[in-house]
Parts: sequence; C-alpha cells; structure tokens
Amino acid sequence: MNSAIGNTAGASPNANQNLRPGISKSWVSLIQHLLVTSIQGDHDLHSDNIFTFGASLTEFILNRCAPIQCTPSRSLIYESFVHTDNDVLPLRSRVGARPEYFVRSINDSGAINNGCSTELPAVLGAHPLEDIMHLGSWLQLATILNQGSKVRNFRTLPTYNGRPPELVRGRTYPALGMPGSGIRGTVCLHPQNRLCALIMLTMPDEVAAAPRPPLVLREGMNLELQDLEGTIWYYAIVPVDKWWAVLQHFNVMVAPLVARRYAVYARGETVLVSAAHASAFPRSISFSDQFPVTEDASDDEGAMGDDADQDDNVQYLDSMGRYVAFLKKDESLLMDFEDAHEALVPVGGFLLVKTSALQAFGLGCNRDWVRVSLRYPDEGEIDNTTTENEYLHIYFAIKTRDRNNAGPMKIRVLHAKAEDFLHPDSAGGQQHMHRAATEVFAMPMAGVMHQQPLPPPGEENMEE
Amino acid sequence: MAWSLCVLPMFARQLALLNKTGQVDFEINYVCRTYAEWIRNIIAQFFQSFFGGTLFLSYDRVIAGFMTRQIATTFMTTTARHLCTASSVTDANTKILLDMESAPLTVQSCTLAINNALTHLADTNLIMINQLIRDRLNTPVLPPEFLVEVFGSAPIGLGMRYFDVLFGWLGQMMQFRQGGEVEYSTGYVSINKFGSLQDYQAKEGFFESYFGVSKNNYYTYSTAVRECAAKTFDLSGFINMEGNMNDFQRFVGRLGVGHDSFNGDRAQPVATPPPPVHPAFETYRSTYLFTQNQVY
Repeated sequence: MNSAIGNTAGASPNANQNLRPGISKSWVSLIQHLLVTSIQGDHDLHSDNIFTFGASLTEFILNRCAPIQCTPSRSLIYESFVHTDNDVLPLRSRVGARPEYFVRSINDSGAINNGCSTELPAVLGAHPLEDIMHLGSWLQLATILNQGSKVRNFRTLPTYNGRPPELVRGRTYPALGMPGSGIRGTVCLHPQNRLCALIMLTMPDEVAAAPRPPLVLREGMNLELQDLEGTIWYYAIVPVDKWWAVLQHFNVMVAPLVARRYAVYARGETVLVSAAHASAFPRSISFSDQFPVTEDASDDEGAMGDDADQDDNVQYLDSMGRYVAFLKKDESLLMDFEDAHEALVPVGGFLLVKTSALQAFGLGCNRDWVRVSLRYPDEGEIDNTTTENEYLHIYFAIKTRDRNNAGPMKIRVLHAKAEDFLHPDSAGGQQHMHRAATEVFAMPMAGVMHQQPLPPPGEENMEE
Repeated sequence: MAWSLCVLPMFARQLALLNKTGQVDFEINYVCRTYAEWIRNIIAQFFQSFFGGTLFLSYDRVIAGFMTRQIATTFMTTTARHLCTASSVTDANTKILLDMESAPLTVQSCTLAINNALTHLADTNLIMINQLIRDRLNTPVLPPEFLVEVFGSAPIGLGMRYFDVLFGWLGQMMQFRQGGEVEYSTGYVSINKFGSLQDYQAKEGFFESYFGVSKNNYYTYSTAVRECAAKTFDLSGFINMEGNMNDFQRFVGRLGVGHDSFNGDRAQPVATPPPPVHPAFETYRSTYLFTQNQVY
C-alpha cells in the first residue's frame, strides 16, 4: 500500500513486533526541492522569509508573463520583519527582466476563429492592455464622460486628464496636445538616476508664440523650452517631479505606446513588424549639466544608477515620436505614432500568409494563401531567432492537421517574414480572403513519398 | 472644514466599500481590473501548490481584500502627496478627489496588492519543511531563471554561472547509496527519520522560537509534512519547456550528471545495472515529498 503518509511500503510489517507506525524515512524530489529553494531564496531559517518568499514568487510569476508596465517603478516594496533588530522595515527589491508583452495561451479560440482575441483583447482601438497600462485613469475618465460605453479611440481631454500616467522610467512615451492644437511630442523619465525627464515638443509657430503664465520648476527657475537646432522641435529637461506639470502646462497628454517587438502594422496591403531603435536620443542633448547622478548609498535607488541594465534603455519610440517598422531585411520605415495608432493590427487579428512560407515547417495546402491569427512568440521561441531587427518575424497561430486528416486539430505558433503577409482588410487582401485556407496539413516528409517500395516478403523466392 | 466637506465623504465611501469587495470593482479602472483578473487566473491555474490548501479556498476573497486595502493605502498616499505639494488645502482636496475619481488604484498598487495576497497565502508549512530539508541536504540556492534554463531548451554547459554548484551538489546526491544516512533513488533522496516524533523532538526548540509552534505540538509538524507530501510543482504548462520539468532523467541528462561519472565505472566494459525502482516511486513520481512508514 502506498499513501503519502502512513503507508507500509518498504519492509513488511512483522506481526510479532510493535505495530505502532513510525516514520523511518521521507523521500524528497530533488527537482522540486531545488525549485522551491530557489524561490524561497537564501535566508536563515526563520518565519520572516514568508515575506521574501511571497515577493520572490510574485516576481517569478511576473518575470515570466507580464511586461514591466505592471511594475512601472521597476521595484517592488514589501515589508519584512528583521529579527535581528526586532523591527518591521520596508524592503525594496528591484524587478528583473520582463517580457515585452503579456503572455497569452496558444489555444485562444476567439482569435483563431473570429480574429478577435478573447484573452486580453484589444482595449483601445487595436491597442492591447500592455500598450495602455499607463492610461488607466484616463480610460476611466473617458469612460465616465462616455456615459459608461467603451472608449474606441484615444483623444486628449481638454485641461484635465485624470491621475498622472504611470510611466516606466527610461522609456520614451508619445504625447499629444489638445485636438486641433498641433502640439505633439514625447516624454521620457531618465533611465538612470538623474531625477529628471526629457520632454520634447513640436507645435505650430502661433501656438508656440501664444502667451502662457510662467511655470515655476524650482525656486528662481522657470520652464523654458530650448530649440533643438536644425529641427522643428523644442525640448526641456525638467525635474522628475515636474514632468506632469509641464505636460499639463501645454495641455498635453501621454498617448498609448507600443513598447514591444513583433507588433504588426498594416499600411495598405503591406504588413510591417515593429522593432526597437538602435539609438533614440538626440546626441546634442546633455543631461549631466543640470542633473548629475544622485549618489546616495543609503537609498536603494542608488543601486539603479548609471549601471542600469542595457535593456532599460531600449526604445521603441524615438524622441521625435517615431516607431521603426521592418518590411524585410534592410527595408524599414519610420512611422509617426499617430499613424502607427491607426495602422496597428490587434493581437489575434487575421492576416493572410503565403502557403509557400509554411513549407519550412512541413505544412501546406492546395490554396495560395492561408488565414492565420496574429500572435506573439512564446518564451522558448524567441530563443530561436536573434534580437537583431532585420531578422524579426511575424508570429501567428495556425490550425494544423495531420497529413491524412486523422487526429485532432492542433494550433501551432509559427513565424514568417513580413513580406510573405497580406493584410486582409486591404483591397488585395479581400480578393484573397474568401479563397484562403483556414487550416493546413502536415506535408509528407522529403524522400518518403518517392522511396521505392520494398518488394513483398518472399518475392525473390517466388522468382526462383 | 474643506477637508471635512470634500475629502472625508469620499474617504468614508471608500472605506464603506472595503468589505463589499464586489462593489469596489466598478470603481477600479478597467486597466487595473483586467490586469488583476488576468494575473489571478494565471496564479490559480499554475501556482496552487505554493499555497496552503485551506487558505487557498478563500483565494478570491483574499485578492479582493488586499485590493481594497490597497485602495485605502493609495488614498492615503495620494492625500499626503497633494497636501504636501498643493498651494492650499482646498486645492489639495480638489486634486485628491480628481485623482481618486479616475484611479482609486494604480497599476503599481495592484502589483503590490497581489504581492501581499500571495504572501498571505504562501504555504508556511512548505517554507518550514523546505528549510529543514535544505538544512539536511545543504542545498544550493540557485536563481529561478537558471533552473528554468536547465528545465528548458537553452544550451547548458561548463562555464555557466551556477553550473558547477548544481552539478557538484547533484552529483553528491546521486552518490548516496542504499543503507546510508541519505539514500538516492530515481530523482529522490531519502532523509532518515524526517517527520518523525524523534525528529520533531530534536527541533522542538527551533520550531518554538522561530516558527511560533507551541511546545509539545508534534501534530503541527506532522501535518506540515503530510501536506507537503502531496504537492507537485509543475510549471511546464506555464513556462515554455520542452518535455516535462518533472522528468529527472532529462534533467540530469542535460546537466551531464550520471552514475558512471562518479563511481569510476567508465573503465569497466559492462556498467552495473541500475537498482530496481522502488514500488513507491511508481505512484509518487514528481511529488515534492512523501514519507514512508516502517514498523519499529
């Protein structure tokens, strides 16, 4: 008999001896023990490590499936009882690397059947949740003003936009002025510990010349926009606690941000895939003059100084509000964020892919185009590609069946080059859409079909 | 006066909603609600084993409870911030109302609420038992990222950080033969007397002083061991890993640890056949722990 406890596996009970059961040995799974130990962390044997266990577990989960927007301060605060001093102290742990998007299950039936993701679907236009995590308060306010109905598109609200957006430090966000004002720009909280923000704006001359009350940034220091030489842009480097005041001063609101690779934009029939900028900041702007790196060793923030991870400085939007999107290797274009907002394809949305692009996966069908559903790569799949922009692929979910149409249908996540896709909403796409296949079959393996059949057993003997 | 008229009613309203967690939902903005709901589902689906069975029955209430607590905390911090920075109390009150109206909970607060909820639900028995096992086996503490790499498909090899530590420890575990203090069999090691009354008595002082277990309470300890016995931590559905992370053969295969390497059997033409698998392992493969009783 085997049970978790109280079993008699091992030596058989001896009727002549005392039958009182006792524990002789416990067996521990090494794999499971290693995993729990790793999450528990390196702590003394003490009940206070429940706090650190909870924090580590949260971090472990988020680390695998949620983008950094969920922890915009890039740190997590939790309380811990420090038994050596008998004191409850707030502890801050820095968050680790995060995926660029929320991880979704492969079998999203809504996406594969209807082209509308049922799992974290598009919230604002084609923007999924990860693009507008910083806009929760704006969305709530817009919903209230919309009398409770869903907000379909982003627009700035005159003069008041709710609680300040929760920006991730070191990431450039787009900013938009009131409708008709012509003001647009970007805002970026400095990635390192300089406690400042870079705000860049462009606006028509008459708007720039309009009189505004002075905005005090510090005692004796008013806001003054600087000209960026050779461009139509103004910029200001402001204390980090004043960035929102500056944006409000110009009635500017932070817009949705597509901070992820593998997002797809459709321009006519063409489909492009988003990438990161190699360098996103104008070299002529120097932060160090006014805002030196804060060096306070007693503060955990000090640990996030100039040695911040390289990943922290990856930008998806440059300081002039443009995304970079690739059609093929060495062929990319810069897209203004307003255009990208319109061109974005929602996660789960339909695309058409050439059947020939699926041959590498051993899949095919008798149609030229196959209807697939846009997805993001799973964690393990990104390892197979490089992070270099020119090798970016579009990932999609596709229905597959076995060669002989036996067995259950499977949904697989595959990838292909952007140039092999067609956007179904375009004129050309609509022509192919109704004739496109919705599932593909496993093709016979090379060589198997043309293999000479073996003679039936005993044939040689018959000839003899 | 301004405080009383403007902010206090709102404060009272939020507090009144604290226990009616279902009604708080509509106050929380869509982003926070969706995020919290999504992460709640992920945790319920893949991480139940890390929580106490009884505690987890009230999982939804705990999450909602910590959310509402976090609303109160956010409210207090918002109030403090505006009172510090605004030019007048009236101005501060207006800003507090505006902020709380659009976002009584921020995304960062949501994450903290989830963190607090998970901490509350964490299986303390598991933590205690695992600490004791770690003490016995001298287990290295490796970052979860490294372990996930080992479970997954990324190349593993010499020169990787932590590789030597894991390789050495695992090799040591696998050397334990039958009859010793620690015994190895198919991915499991045995610890003598672990979970027994005798074992409890040896650690009673420690339980009492560090875990708050009252004296002469063997029942608490044996219950902890029993609860851990049924647990399985299988994250293969959550993290993209080729094969099953519970497959020990694959695990050691990727690391290159094997019996032969440690016994000098390589020189022998015929390797010693592996010992027969204990019948107990047929049933309890991949559980965290199980105990075997024997008659004294």
